[in-house]
Amino acid sequence: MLLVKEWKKIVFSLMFVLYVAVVAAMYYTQLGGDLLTPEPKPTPGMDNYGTVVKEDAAILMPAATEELLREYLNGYYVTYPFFYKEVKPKENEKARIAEILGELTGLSRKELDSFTDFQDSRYDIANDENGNPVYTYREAVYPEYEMQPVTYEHFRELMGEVDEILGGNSSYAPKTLVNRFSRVPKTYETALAEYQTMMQPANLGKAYTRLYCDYLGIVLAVIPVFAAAFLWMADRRAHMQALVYSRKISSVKLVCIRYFALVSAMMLPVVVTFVHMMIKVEGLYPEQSISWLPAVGLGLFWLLPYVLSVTAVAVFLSELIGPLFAIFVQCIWWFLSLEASELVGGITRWTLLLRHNRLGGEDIFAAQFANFLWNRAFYLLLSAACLLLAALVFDKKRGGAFGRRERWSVAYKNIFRNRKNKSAA
Amino acid sequence: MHIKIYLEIAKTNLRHNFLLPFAAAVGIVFLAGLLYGTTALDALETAKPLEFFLCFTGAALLTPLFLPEQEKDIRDVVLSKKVNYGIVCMIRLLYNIIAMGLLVAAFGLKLYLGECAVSWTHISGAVVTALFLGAVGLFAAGISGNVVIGFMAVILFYLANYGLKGKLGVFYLFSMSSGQLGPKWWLLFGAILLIAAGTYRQMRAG
Repeated sequence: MLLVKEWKKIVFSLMFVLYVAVVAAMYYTQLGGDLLTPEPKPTPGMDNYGTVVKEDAAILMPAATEELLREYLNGYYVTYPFFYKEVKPKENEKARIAEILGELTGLSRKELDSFTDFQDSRYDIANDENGNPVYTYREAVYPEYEMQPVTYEHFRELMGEVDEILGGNSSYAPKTLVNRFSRVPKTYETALAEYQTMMQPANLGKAYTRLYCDYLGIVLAVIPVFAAAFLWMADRRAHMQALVYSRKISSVKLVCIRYFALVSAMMLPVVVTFVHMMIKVEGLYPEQSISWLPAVGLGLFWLLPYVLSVTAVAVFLSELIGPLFAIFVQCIWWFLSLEASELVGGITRWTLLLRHNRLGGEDIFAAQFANFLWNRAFYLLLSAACLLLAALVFDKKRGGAFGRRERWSVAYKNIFRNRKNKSAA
Repeated sequence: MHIKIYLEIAKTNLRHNFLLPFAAAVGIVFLAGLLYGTTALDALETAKPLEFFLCFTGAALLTPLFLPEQEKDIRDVVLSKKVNYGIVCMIRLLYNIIAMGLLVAAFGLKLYLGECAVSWTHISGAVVTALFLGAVGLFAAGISGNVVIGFMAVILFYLANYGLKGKLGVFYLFSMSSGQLGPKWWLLFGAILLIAAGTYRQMRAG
C-alpha cells in the first residue's frame, strides 16, 4: 500500500513530468534518425566505408614516432590515469626517451635539444578585416628525420618502455598503441561482412538495443539523482520527516519501499520508449525475423544498473549530508565518466557510462563483453551497498543520531551570543 | 541609511547562504585544473576548460539563489521585512556574480601563467557562458519554486549543447571551442532576461 502511495507521489510530481520529457526528447532527437530508414547494405565501389582499427606496422610506427617527437619537443607528455595529466620526466628519464627517439629517427639528443624552430600545430587569435577576433591555424614544424630500420617487435618494446617511464596510461601503452595510431580505411568485403553479422536474427535487435542504451544511458546516469533529491526535499518542505520517523514500519522496509517506488517509476518511460523502438525496428525490416529476447535482456542489464546505482547513491548521500550535495557529487561523477568514455570500444570495468555509439560493431562489443558484465555487476553491488547504508543512516536519524549539525549550529550561535555579551560588557 | 541596511543584508546572506555554493564553485575550478591541461595550450584548446567546465561555477552560484525561501517559514519572514525581496535577490546576485567573475579570472590567470594563449575574449566569453548557464538554473528554480528543478535544467541544457549544438544557434554555449570567437551578446542578453524573469516569478510567488 505504501509502495502505491509513494509511486503516485512520484508519478504525479512536476519532476516526473520533466523526467519523462527528457527521456522522450533524448530518444527522439538522438535515435529518431536511425529509426527512419533501414541500415543500407554496402555496395561495391563506394567512396568510403569508414575506418577500422588494424594493426599495421607501416602506419603505426611513423605515426607513434611523430607523436613521441612532438611531445619530447614540447617538454611534457599527456597521460590518462583517470583524467588528463601532463607528465614532465626527470633528467635521466628524458635522456632515455631521447635515446629511444634517436634509435627511431636517427636524431641525436644534441640535434633534438638544439632544434629551436619547433612549433606545434596550433590555433592563434588574430583580427579579421573588420577587427573581429578569429582563429588562425599554424602548421607544425619538426626537425627533418627518416624512420630508422627497427623491427615491429622491438618498436613495441620501446613504446612499452616509454609508457613505463611516463607512469603508464600514455598513448604508447601496449593496450592503446594500435587503437591510437593504426587506423586503416575499411574495405568493401569487411563492411559487407559486418553488415551480414548485424543482420542475423540474434544480432539485429541487439544492435539497435546497444545504440538505444548508449543514448539513454547518458540521461539515466544523472537524472535519477534529481528525482531522489526532489522527493527528499518534498518531505522536508512538507515537514513530513518527523512524521515519517515516528511510524512503526522498519527503517530498512521504508527506505526500500521508497527506493523501489523511485526506480520503478523511472523505468517506466524507458520501457515505453524501448517498446516503441522495437515496433519501429520491426517496421524497418519486415522481411527479417528478429529475436528480441536477448536484446531485452541486454537492455535491462545495461540500463537498470544506472537507475539502481544513481538512485541508491543519491538516497544515501541525501540522507547522510543533503540532497544538494548528492546532486553535486553525481553531476561531477557523471561529467567525469562522460569525458572519460570513448564513443565506441571503450567499455571498462569501472566507468559509470558505457558507450557504444554505433549501429553494429558486434565484434568490438563482443571483445569487451567481459568488461561489460563486470561493470554492470559492480554497479548492481554498489546499489545494494548504498541502499543498505541509506537504511542505516535513516535508522540512526530516527533514533536521534546525526544531529551533530544542529548541535554545531547551536554552539556557533552561542559563541556569537557570548561575544556580543562580552563586548557589551 | 539604506546602504547600511543593504550591507547588513549582504553580510547576513554571505554568512548563511554563500559559503556552500562558493565552496562548490571553488571545487569546480580546482577540478578544472586537474581535468584539463593548463600549460602551453593554443587559443582553441584554451577555450575548452573555460567553456566546458568553468560554466558550472555559474550553475553552482546562481541556481540556489532562492534556496533559503524554499522553506516556507523563512520566506514568510523575508517577505514580512520592510526591504523589498527583489533588492535582497539583487544583493545576492551581485556578490555571486562577482565571485563567479573572480573564480573565472583566477583560472584565466593560471592559464596565462602556464603560457596558454588566453585572451580577454576568452575570459569574458567564459564569464558570460557561466552566467547564462547559471541563469538557466535560476530561472527554472524561480518558476518551479524548487532548486532541484533548477539544477536539473542546468544539466539538461548542458546536455542539449552536447547533442543539439547546431540547433541552439546563438545560445550555443561552446562556440569558442568550436572555432567561433567574439562577444557572446545573445548569451548575455538571454542571461539578463532569464534572471529578471526568474526573480520576478519568485517575487510574485511570495
